[in-house]
Amino acid sequence: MAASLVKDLQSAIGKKYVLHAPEDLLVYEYDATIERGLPEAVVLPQTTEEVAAAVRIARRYGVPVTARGSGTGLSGGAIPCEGGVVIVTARMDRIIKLDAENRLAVVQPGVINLDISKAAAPHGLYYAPDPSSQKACSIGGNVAQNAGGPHTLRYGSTVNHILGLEIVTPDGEIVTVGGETIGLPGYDLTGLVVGSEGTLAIVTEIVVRLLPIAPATITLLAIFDEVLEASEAVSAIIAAGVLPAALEMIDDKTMRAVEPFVNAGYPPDAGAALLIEVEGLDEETREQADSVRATCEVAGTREIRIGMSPEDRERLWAGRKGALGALGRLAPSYYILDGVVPRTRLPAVLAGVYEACERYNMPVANVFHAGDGNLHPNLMFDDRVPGASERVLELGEEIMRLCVDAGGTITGEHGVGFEKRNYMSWIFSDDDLEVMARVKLAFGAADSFNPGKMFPSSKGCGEVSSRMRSAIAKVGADAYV
Amino acid sequence: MVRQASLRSDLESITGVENTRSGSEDIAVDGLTPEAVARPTTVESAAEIIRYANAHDLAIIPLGGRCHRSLGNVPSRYDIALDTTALSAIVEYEPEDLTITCQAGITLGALRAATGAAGQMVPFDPSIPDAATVGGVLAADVWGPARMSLGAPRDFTIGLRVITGDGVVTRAGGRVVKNVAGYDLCKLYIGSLGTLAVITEASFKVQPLPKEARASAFEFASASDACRVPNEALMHALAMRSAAVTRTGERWLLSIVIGGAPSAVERSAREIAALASDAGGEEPAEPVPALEQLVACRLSMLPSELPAQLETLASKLGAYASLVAYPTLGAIRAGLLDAGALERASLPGVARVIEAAPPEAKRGIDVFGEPPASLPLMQAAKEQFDPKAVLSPGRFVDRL
Repeated sequence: MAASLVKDLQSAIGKKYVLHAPEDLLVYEYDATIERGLPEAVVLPQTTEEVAAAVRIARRYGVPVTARGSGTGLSGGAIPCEGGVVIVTARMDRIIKLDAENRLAVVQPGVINLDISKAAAPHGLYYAPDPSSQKACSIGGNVAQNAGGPHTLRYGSTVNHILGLEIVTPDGEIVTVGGETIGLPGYDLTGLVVGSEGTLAIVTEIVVRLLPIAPATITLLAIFDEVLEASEAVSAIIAAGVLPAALEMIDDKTMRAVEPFVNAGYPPDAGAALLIEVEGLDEETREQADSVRATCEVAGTREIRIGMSPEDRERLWAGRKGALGALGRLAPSYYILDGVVPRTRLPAVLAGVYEACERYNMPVANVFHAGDGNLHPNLMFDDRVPGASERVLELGEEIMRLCVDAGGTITGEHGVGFEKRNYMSWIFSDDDLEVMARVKLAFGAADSFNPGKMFPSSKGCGEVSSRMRSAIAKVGADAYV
Repeated sequence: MVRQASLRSDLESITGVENTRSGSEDIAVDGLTPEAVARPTTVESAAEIIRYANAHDLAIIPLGGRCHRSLGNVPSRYDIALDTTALSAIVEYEPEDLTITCQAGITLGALRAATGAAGQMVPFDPSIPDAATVGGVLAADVWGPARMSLGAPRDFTIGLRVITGDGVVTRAGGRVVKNVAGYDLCKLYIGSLGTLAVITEASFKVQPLPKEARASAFEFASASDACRVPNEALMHALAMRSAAVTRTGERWLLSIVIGGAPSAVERSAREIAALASDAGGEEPAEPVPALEQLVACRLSMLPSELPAQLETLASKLGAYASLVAYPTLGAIRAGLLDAGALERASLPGVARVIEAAPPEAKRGIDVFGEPPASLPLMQAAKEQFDPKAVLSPGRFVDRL
């Protein structure tokens, strides 16, 4: 069967763009997590028609289809965990149209996130969602996961910036949802497909909204003695009526890890730093910066640095952006969590995270989107030590519980994938999950697209825990969350 | 089908005598009056009514403030009005979290008062009346000129609790500002006009109220001059909350609301006045009283196409129509004196939704226009969420 599947794919997409030799397939069995799933074939189509043809062929052979962008995901979304055909969108990398007058662009899914902003910049525009992997991640993957980033606080996630999509359904039909204009009649299928993690449709064309670049941006770095002081300052900044573009926290462990590599100038005895960015018109931006500064001073900051020029701002961001890469040097492995809590619960939950990690004797570094209440504890361990992986997963689960118990959720931007599919029942009832499954039925998806993702699995415990174990993130030195 | 007397007494046994009454003119939809009105005081009893309707093949239309019930095709059936206004509590509001959770029968007026007291707002368009309920505004996906700065309901709704057409009480999303767990069913329910589920509770992002707001207006000789100004102001990141262009006699009136920090408002007002003056804008003459809109429709297009389309519409409709255009968003609302003008209030290749018209004018047409290419997926969704077509049958796109 595999041989004739490959042959059919080759005749539809071209021999050169169908991979089937075991050594070629290995590259596509993992993403930024280390979960593995070996596909039977990998195709690299260039057109929507080729994607649709590949879907129809896979359907004929009864094998699942998993779409893959750049493979930078942090929840295993692009892993073909039940084999089948992987459709890689890397060759669908054209910006089809950049309509500056209407502040939108039509792009193929393989376009790299940052390249949209680069193309739009000469027109004074940019694409707002900026996941930390934006130099590498594809817009198609962003759409699948509803990716976030530091500037989600003010501008929202991917879904807030998508006007329309061209999709291939599990039947292999090409359908347009939404469009270039707003207010089109019918159910908002665009909003439904964004964030569906490749389980409902494969996105082959995307209409993105572009925003005018703010005329003024100021970045502030506020250093605190205590992490709790810093987390209390987060709420205070917002209570003062300022909605920053970004509000990030870097804790002591992270600062100490980063300092030797980035020379960010973090004091060695500091407890935490907040990185705050405000933007808008000059006057307003200065006023917001003044307000943030005053709030931080009341909250007990010991030092504030302010960056106005692009170079100074870049320097303040360097420690934040280099954090994960630096942390990767501290331990052979680490596991990145992605929980969200209401902002006001941040101090309590953060204290709970430190307490739990201490109890497990597991080093943790926190570097995260504090303004959104989106925590990213990085648990550092050595996966070669027997039992270490089990313990880190147990601890991760306990931390996710803390988030859910505080009224939060299990993922703010990385997606459920299969890493967290069994936590879905913590926040959704059986009825909620059953109603979600109806959407899959409506799209005719059953388990043909990206099976094994998002929904709790009925698979046995051993199976689940082995998948969970291998979901521990292993990312490159220049990655950050 | 049950007889009227038994329907009333069955509903009384679910929601109580005091919360049940006979159908009357005030809850009619497109001239159809239901047999009975139920005003459940709990989500569970609302769900029971829906399950009852499933068991007896009855059609339900959920109603809140009834401000937007003119939207939609003429319902094919209408037996029970589900009045959601008793479900009107604020469930959770922590201003520092910038989130709020409320029941869907609360009015925008009550919500505005509660958040306003904390210096905040749920960013619904200021043009939406206070009497409208949250559930109705979400179901009808109501937005206005401030969408350019505040977004549409899909952008600031973070969670919903609904009852599906087959009576399942279910949640979507959550109460935190950032959440990608599971399918975002909020998107599906918002704008579904009560054809998939009845919304009973909603969680929103809130934002600070602008510290200062002021309105300014300019008159122009051409629609394109009037439309260019707010689009340029947008590119300069000026503090515009909303922008609308209306026809006043032979001229075009641009109305802009500026809001934000006092310094930003000051500078934005100055620069917008300069942009307007460069485009030939003048102080407006006496305002022309707005026509009472008995018939209204909304047309969607690219902002760049809008000025020419606006001129075309104006010449097709003459003086007896009020036209309001949102130049940065790419939408035109036309208010018409009679349904006869609907035919002229259309543009080739432009999507149009008739938002209000007398039922006799709505019959025989689809108020949503040509069904979109994705209609089969929409039909499949309807079958999944409301298999017996109990909820608002016939009202949606292609009479779903």
